[in-house]
Amino acid sequence: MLFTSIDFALFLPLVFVLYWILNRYSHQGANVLLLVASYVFYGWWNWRFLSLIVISSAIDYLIGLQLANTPEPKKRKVLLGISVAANLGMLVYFKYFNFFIDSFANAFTFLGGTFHASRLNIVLPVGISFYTFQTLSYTIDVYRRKLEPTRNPLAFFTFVSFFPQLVAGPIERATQLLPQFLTQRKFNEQTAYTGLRIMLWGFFKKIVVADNCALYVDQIFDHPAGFNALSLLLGAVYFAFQIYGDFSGYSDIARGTAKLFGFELMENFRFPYFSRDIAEFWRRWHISLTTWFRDYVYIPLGGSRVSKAAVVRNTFIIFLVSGLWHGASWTFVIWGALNALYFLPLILSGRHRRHTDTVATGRWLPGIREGFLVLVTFLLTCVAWIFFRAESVGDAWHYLQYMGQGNWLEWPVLKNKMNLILLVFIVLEWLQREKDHVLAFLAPRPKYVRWMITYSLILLIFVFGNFSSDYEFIYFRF
Amino acid sequence: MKGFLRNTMWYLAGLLAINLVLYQIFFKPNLYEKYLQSLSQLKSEKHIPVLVLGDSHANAIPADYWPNPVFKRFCYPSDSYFDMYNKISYCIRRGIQIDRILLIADDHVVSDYRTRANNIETSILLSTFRTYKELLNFNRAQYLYMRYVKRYVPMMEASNSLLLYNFLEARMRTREYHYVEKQWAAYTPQEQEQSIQSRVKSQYAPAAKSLLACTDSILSMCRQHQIPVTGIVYPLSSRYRNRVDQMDYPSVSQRFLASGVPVLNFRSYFSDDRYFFDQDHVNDAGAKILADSVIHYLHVAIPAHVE
Repeated sequence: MLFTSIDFALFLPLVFVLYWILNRYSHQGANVLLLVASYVFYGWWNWRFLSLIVISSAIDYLIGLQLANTPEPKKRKVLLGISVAANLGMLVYFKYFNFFIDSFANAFTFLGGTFHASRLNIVLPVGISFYTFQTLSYTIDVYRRKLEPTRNPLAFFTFVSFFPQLVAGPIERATQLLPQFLTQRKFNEQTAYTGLRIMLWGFFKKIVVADNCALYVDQIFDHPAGFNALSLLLGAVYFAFQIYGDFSGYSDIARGTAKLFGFELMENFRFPYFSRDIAEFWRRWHISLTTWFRDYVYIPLGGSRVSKAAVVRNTFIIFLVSGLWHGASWTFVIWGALNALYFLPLILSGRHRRHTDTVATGRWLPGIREGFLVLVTFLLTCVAWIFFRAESVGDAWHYLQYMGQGNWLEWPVLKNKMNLILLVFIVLEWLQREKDHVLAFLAPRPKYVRWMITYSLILLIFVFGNFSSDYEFIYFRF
Repeated sequence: MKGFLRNTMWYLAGLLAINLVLYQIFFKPNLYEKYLQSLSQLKSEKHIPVLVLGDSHANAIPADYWPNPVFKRFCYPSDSYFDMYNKISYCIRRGIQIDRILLIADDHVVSDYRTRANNIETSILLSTFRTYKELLNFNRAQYLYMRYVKRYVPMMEASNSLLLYNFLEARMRTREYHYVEKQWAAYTPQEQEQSIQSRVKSQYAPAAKSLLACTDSILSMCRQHQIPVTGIVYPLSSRYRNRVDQMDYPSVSQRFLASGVPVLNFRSYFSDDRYFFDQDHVNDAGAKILADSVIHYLHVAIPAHVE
């Protein structure tokens, strides 16, 4: 079920009312409803793949219990290995099998041999990259004794399949989310309003910013030869906002929806395009995935407290794996590698934690140096996004070639509607960059101001939104 | 919780009020008004000698060129056969006597895109739940949604967004520019080719079975009520005709002829581009000639006093 569908508009209020009625009597009853609702939400897309969520949940629940009863380190490692193999096995089978077999066949052919690859005719189950990582975090935390395994299967299954964040994150940690399913939730009116505001801003990002950008991005990326250099640069900028609006929009709707049910999800994006270097960008972009890789891959590999060669290796590993997590294609691997290259000088010189605050804190405008750093960081991410968006490495390379060989003095093909939308969007985000979310400023205002502004925003979404059904959430593919 | 639900209800009531205002100031005058006017005119009719039904191709002939009151033109751009069915059944239900129906027989009208781009949300005003159930498999909820919610709560319908945006944009543009309509003959061959390509792409999606079936429903309804039907194929510019001829597409006129319905085929009537506004719509000069020819071929007796 899509957040932007009429189905969801009917589904959400119904589940909301039933949930709070049940919660008055027992939080377990409310959990049952959430579990059923989550399965319906997922099954709306393809009920057959529900079995994967159930299998993944069951394996990790049982392994968690076994880990609690197993003191021997060797046996614990085996149990952990089963969980990792099962979850990553599903992921590899559905997501990477064809990619690996094709890459192997290409390499074989390149070396002069012949290899007839037999590809699998399979569909990628929506959200598999998200919920497998979420359940894995549980088993790893239990293995590390950071978390007591739960003996409540209902809470655990609901934690894995919680519908607001099931298909595109944030990838929640069991330590943070699971305990919320074990206690009675209390309805808080102000939290619910905050949730609705976060959702509204998420819809604006998705329907107005991302889906309008998508129209132009598709045109430009499909025929880059027909555009001049600045238009191609603009195409990459539009894509930067498309993916940001799309993914952070989804995260906002997920976070807002969870708040309506009394749950707190982690913040997944913190105004990433106002970063002054790539390290800051990665502290603000897809935070749940970045911290997942940091905690479960980077630090176990030694993190940055090892030799410089090992730091380089570790950095490349997490960025390449992160790229591959996004999709089974070399374009994502190169996107990851580029980010690793951007990141390396910072971490090797120990300057990767220079910018931990918000740019121009307490000021209206940034200084010239700060503004320059923000612009350079943004342009660097745009270059990397070209690989992320392109259909193949060859396409991305051609795009860059057309851009490099083009006449930079030629005026770009400007899309007035799009530029106006982006300008308004950037200004609003900039003004609210120190807040939890863009509409946070509404909370202390009188009711009529809040209503007028939110009504205006709904009207803006209606008039300027792109409601074409061609544009699902991009991260559904990952 | 109660406070939250109460506030939410009030908020939604406010949103509903905004929708009603939007309907009143924009959607009613721009989307429903013409239909409502035609509907009120139709209500006063007792007898229509020739009822002209079609889409923008029929609409390209101004109402003035059809002698009034012999001809009654009731066409809108993108009208589908389903919309035409609604109109005919409305007339029959109201007991309006129709001597003949001049019904479009262009192939593109059965294209699948017409199942989406049509006027069924407005022609529903002429129809009943039974018709929507039988021809479109609508359930009661879908019917009520289209008839009332889509109309009075326009923000519920995504397609209304584009309509409002385009309207606002057009209003802003007319203040800035003097828009000059370019006629087909003024296009360069490249421009014509480009326009034809995009037109064919949008207009000739595979034929929809439901629309083909709807033509049969219209013909059988007319047969049942003894209303003679004449099909009409509207003219195409020569370059566009050549392009369309290369396609293997179900012929509506053949379907009509097979059912014993005569067809006036004007497809190749004009070989000169100066009679066209674009590749498949006649301009004013073409419309005048076409209307006169239809009147001539139909052998309609126009009384001397009629304009």
